Amino acid sequence: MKGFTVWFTGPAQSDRNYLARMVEESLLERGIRVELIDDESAGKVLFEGLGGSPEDREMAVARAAHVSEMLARNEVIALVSLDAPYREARESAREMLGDFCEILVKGDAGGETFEEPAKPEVLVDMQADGEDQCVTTIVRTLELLKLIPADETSAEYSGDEEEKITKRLKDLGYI
Amino acid sequence: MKKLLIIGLDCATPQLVFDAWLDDLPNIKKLVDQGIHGNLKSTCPPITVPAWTSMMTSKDPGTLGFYGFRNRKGYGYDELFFANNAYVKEKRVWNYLSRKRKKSLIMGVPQTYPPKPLNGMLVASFLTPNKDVQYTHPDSVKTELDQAAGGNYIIDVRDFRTDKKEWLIEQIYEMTEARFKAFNHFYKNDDWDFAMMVEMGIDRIHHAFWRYHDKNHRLYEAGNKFENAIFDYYKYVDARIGETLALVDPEETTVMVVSDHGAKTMTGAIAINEWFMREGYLTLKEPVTSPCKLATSMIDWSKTRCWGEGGYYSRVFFNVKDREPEGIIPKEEYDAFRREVITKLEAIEDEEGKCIGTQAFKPEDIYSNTNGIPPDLVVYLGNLDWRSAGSVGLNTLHIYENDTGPDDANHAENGIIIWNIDPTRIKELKETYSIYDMAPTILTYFGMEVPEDMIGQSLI
Repeated sequence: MKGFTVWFTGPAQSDRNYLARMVEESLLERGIRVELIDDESAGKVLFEGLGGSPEDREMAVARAAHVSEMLARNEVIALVSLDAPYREARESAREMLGDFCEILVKGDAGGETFEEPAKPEVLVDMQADGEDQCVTTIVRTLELLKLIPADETSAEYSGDEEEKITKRLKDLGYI
Repeated sequence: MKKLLIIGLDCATPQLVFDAWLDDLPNIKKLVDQGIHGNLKSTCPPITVPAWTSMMTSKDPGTLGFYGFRNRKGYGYDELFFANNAYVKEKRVWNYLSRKRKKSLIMGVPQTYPPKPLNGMLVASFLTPNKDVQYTHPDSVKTELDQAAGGNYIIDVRDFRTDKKEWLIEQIYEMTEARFKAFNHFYKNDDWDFAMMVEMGIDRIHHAFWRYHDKNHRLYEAGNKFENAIFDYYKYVDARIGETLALVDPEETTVMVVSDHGAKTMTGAIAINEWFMREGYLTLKEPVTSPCKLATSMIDWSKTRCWGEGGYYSRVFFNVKDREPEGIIPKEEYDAFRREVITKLEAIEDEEGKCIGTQAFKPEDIYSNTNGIPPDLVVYLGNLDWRSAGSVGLNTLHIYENDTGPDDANHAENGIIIWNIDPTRIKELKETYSIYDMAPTILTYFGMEVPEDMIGQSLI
């Protein structure tokens, strides 16, 4: 499976970081290699020294994109969630990274600048839809985009397989 | 301590492990002496499926939505499914551990076929139809598995009903040796936070050889040549456990030995559908004069209110109007009818007229939920001293040569738990713990939150 980037975008008051962590866990549960770059963990080191100016925000995006690129070429999915309100910077990241899926997490900008993406691959609303549905929507989109394998565990045995299993369970006394 | 190893021994039974043979099982005894041990109360019913899944999810069969190996898919008479891993929707311990980047090695845990991804590796168990299918995660493990097992990894014994008892014993030993070898190979070659294997051999040898071992079994003969078969095998398993323990770093890993249920003597089988016919609850289209499996096509549904499944316990189903396709029990009479059937089932007698102590449970009384299609009653015939035979044409209610499977041992409600953890870490030392407490305990051990919908409690 190739690496790629999932970019969580949302205004200051959105549940962006929390949702990114839940998606991270959901992918980890599937044994998929994934790393999260957000304001609260890797970002503490990665974005050290950067403030809230447009130039610093652009640098934060560039740094996150650079790390994502390194992860992706090592077949790791990069989940990025940071305070990146400017559309142009995010579009630059998209162009640089190629395999890129943007998640717009709806929320209240609280009066701060936030430029919505033009065409996010997924739009979620945690308040309206709940955490589980949002995670499912995101993961399912990644499956449909063929970025991750679909969960295709089939329950059905073939006729021959079912006959063998039935005989074995009868022999063992279970049925 | 930050790692955990669980050795599962399906059907390992406390009266043998703790009471009769502990001094003959030095490796198990060492774990007992180092920590805690006790009974582990199984699910209702105490059957491999769903017991191991209940253990790993802390969810009861009603929440899981399956009540045994084979379950009704709908209220049609023939809509059945095998509850394999694709039907398991609840998260197991290793799913939670994966989410937190903990790596798991899972081998032979029942109900894991078809395999689902996790952080680590998994080898599915005996509901795997054959070795040609993909039964490992990742796929590449399958290639290494036979070599790791010393030549041939054996998922389960073949031809279990053979009369060639020596050959069956050989197979059980081969299977056990191969599984422990394979497990040890993978265990020592990587760094696992959580490792768990389940060996089925004890269950297999109990069912096939209990009559030779148990002096109280009606078919026991003193001095028979298989008298020590079960004892010798327990010692063999203990030696294999010793080899695995030699790979464990005691400074960072604790070890559990658990089972999903126990074993006890089986007195015989009650022909449950013969009983229903005698009570007027079941009518066949044509009389049957020789023993045969009951097919739903043989039943006159216009005159039938109940039918039952065979197995170590019985599931009883009612033919309810507007629920089953040709149902006749009016819904408003369902509760009263069920009480009537319970009373009669619990009064079933043996051939000498003595009540055998049957217990009949309503699913809604014993489970948190009743997902899927639960049976209308879960029945322990003779409190599991008797199994259920579903065949008809037997001309008797009491059978001593079983109609489908081995008749030596039935399942008992208590399995075992042994854990070499400092006993002062256990909140409350008990004689009997609950199978539902295992998953919360494991998550707590790893410093993780226990989900609110788990029905058990952490032991630590």
